[in-house]
Amino acid sequence: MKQILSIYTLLISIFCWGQSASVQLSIEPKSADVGEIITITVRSNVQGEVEVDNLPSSFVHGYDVMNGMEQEMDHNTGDIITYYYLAQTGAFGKAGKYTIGPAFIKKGNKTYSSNKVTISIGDKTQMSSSTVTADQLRDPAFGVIQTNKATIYEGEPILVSAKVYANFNPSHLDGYRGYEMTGAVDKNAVGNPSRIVVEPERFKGKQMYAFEYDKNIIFPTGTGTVRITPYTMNLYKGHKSFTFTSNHKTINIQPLPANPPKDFIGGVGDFSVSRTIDATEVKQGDVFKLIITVSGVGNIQNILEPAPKLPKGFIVYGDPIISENFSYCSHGAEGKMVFEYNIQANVAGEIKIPATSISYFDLNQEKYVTAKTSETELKVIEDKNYIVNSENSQNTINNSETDVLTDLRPSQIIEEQNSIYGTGMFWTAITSPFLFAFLFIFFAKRKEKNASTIEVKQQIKKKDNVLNEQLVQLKQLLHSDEDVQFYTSIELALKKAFEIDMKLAEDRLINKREIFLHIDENYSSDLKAQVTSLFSDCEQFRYGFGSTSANKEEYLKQLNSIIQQLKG
Amino acid sequence: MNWKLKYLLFPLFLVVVLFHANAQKHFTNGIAAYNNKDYSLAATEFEKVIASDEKNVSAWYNLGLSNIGKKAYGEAILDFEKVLKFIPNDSEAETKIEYCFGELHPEIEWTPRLNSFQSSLFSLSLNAWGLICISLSLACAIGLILYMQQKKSSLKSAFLFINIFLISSFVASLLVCSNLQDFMTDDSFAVVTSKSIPTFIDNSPSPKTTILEGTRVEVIEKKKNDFVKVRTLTGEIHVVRAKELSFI
Repeated sequence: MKQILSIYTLLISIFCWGQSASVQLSIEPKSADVGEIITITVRSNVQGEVEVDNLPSSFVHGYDVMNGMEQEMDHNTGDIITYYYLAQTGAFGKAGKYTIGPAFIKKGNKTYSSNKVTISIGDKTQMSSSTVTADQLRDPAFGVIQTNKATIYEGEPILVSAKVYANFNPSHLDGYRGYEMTGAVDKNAVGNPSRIVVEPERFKGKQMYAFEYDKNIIFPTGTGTVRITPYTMNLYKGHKSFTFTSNHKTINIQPLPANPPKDFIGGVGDFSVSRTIDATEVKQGDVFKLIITVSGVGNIQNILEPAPKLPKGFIVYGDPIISENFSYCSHGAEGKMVFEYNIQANVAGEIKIPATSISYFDLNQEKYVTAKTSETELKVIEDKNYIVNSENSQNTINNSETDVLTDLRPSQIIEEQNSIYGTGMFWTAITSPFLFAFLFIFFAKRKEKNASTIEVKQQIKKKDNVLNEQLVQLKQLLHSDEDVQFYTSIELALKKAFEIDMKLAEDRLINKREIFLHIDENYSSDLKAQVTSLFSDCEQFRYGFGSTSANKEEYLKQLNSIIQQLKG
Repeated sequence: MNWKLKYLLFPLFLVVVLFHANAQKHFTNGIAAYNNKDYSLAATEFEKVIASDEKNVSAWYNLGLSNIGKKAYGEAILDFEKVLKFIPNDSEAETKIEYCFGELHPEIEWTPRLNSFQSSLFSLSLNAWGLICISLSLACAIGLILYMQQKKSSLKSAFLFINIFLISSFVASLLVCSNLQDFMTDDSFAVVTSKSIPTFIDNSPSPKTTILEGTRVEVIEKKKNDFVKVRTLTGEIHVVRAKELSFI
C-alpha cells in the first residue's frame, strides 16, 4: 500500500511539474483617454499571491476588483485546466504611453512572471453638446447628447454619450430609452456602462450635478446629415422622480476624397501593415502561408483584405483566413486583423516577393496614406517531377509583361484626315432640310388659304346668279295677281343681295337684324331707311293691303336701287 | 490632258507612292525588330512611321508596346494616350496604360479621361456622327412637314411625339459631335515621360516638389516664361515648365 501511495504521489508530482505555469497579463482597452476606466487582468493556471509590477504613479486604482476561477479543456490532451484570474479597474491621470508588467504570482518559494503590456493614454476627448434651451435650464434635470465631433468622414467612428445635468444629487435612474443614430449599424459601448460617476459641474453659471451615461463608439454608414434622436430617462432623488427627454443632435458625414489609391482597404484612421512568411525555403509546388497583419485604430473591423502582390507563377489558394483581435475604445476599434493566405510556389529559384502595400484615409493628415511592408526573399527548390498547372499559372501572370507584349497590331489603321463635321457642307446639309421643310409648310399653307378664298368666291358667284334669276322672276310676277309670291320674292332677293354684299359663303338665309347691323357698319342711314321701308311695305302688301301693279313696279325699282347701292 | 500638266503631276504621284512605300517599309521593319525583341530598333522604326503620318494609330500602338519592352513606361503611356485620342474606346490601349501606370505607381489607380458612357459614344468616328446629324435633320424636316399636314388630332399628337424625339436626338448628336471634336483637338493634356519633373511656386526659381513619370496632367493656365499651371490625376495643382511635358 505504501508503495502504491509513493508511486501515486510521484506521478502527481511529475504531472504538476510537467504542467508548465502560465501567467498572462492583459489590458482592455489598449488605448484610452485620461480618466477612462480600463481593466488590468492577470490570468494564470497557478494560484498564488498576485503582484503587478511597473504600475505608474498616474494610475488610480478603481473600486472594482474581481477574482475568481474558470475551467477550460485542453483539446490536445483532454485535460481540464483551472485558471485563476484577478481583474482590477482603474484610470490614468496623465497622457502618455505606459508599459505595465510583468505580473508576478508567488506560490510558496516560487515566483512566476507574465508578459508586459503597453497602453497609450491620450488626452481627454473633448465632447461637444447639443444646444440647451432656457426652458431646459429651468427644469430640475435635463439631458444633452454629446459627440466628440460635429463633422466626420465616411467610415470614421464617432463617440456619442448621453450627458445628464441635475440640480439635485441623483440617487438612481430607470426607464432609459437610448438615443438612436439613423443609418448606424455598428454601435459599441465604451467603458463600463453599469458604472455611473456623478460629479458636481458648473454649467452656464449654475452649479449642477452631472454624469455621463450610455457612451458608445458608433460607426455611421453613408454620407450627409445624420440625426441622433433624443433619449428619455427617469431620474430619481430618493423616491421622487423626474422624467425628461433630451434634445437631438445632428452630425455631418462627408464623403472621402475621390480617386482613392488602388490598394485602399477602406480603412479610416491610423494603420500599419506587417507581413510574415512561415518558411524561407519551400519545394516547387509546395504551399506556404503568407500572413499579413493590419493593425491600428479606426474602423479596423470594416477593412477589406489587402491584395498581396505575387511574382509570376505564384497562386493564392482560396480566400484568406481572417482572424480578428480588436477592442472598442473612444478612438474607434483598436487592434489587429490578421489575413492568412495559402500560396503555392510554382516556379523555382530565389524569388523576391514584392512588398504588400495598403492605403487608408488618415484623419490627421486628411488624405490617403500608403503603408508598405518590406520585400521578402523565398527560396523555391526545383522539383523536376512537378508539373506546373498552366491554367493556374496563367491566371497569376495575367498582368505580366509577357502578356502585355504579345498583341502587336500588324495592319496599319490610319485615322481619317478630315471630318465633315464643322465644314460648310455639313452646316448646309444640316440646315437645308429644315429650310426646305419651312418653305414647304409656308407654300402649303398659302395654297390652302387660296383654295378657301376661291371657294368663297364661287359661292358668292352662285348666289349672284340666284339673285339675277330672282330679279327675272320678279319682272315676270310684276303683272300677275300673285302678290304674295311677288313680295316674298322681293324680300328674298333683298336678303340675297345682302348675303352677296356680306360675302357670306354659307348656304343660309340671313335675318333682318344681321342686315341692319351690316348697314350700320358699312352704309349710310339713308340706305337703312330704304331697306326698312321696303321690308315693312312688302310685309304689308304680302297680306293684300292695297297692292297695285304700280306699287309693284315702284318696289321693284327700290329693290334695284338698293342692289345698285350695294354693288356701287 | 495637257502634256505639261502630265509632266508636273507624274513626279508628284511618284513622291506620294514612294513616301507611302517608305512608311510601309518602316512599319514592317518595326514589326520584325519587335518580334526579334529588339525593342529600341522597333521603337525607332515606328517613330519613323509616325513622323511621316501622325495619324497612323497602329504605329502609335506598336510604339507603345515597344516602349513597354524598353521599360519606358512614361513614353508608352503617352503613345497609348495618343491611340485613345484617335480611337477613344480602344480598350486594349486603356489596358496597356493601366498596366504601365501600375508598374510606375502601384498605389494609385489610373482613370481614363473619358467615362464609359462617353467612351462608348465616341466609339463612332466624327464623320459617322456627322452623317447621323445630317440624317436626323432630314428626319426632323420630314417629321415637321408630316406634323403640319396632319388633320386628325390623334395622328397629329403621334407625330408631335415623334418630332420631339427626333429633335432631341438631333440636338444630342450635335452635342456629341461638338464634344468629340473638342476631345480630339484638345491639346491641354500632357504626360510626364521623364523620371520626374520639378514643380515650382509662382515666381520662384527654386523647385518645390516633383511630378513623377507617367502622370497625366491637364494644363489649366498658361503662365509667363513657358510655365504652365497643371492639375494632376489626384487633383493636385502644380506649376511646371511646359517643355518638360509631352502633350497628348
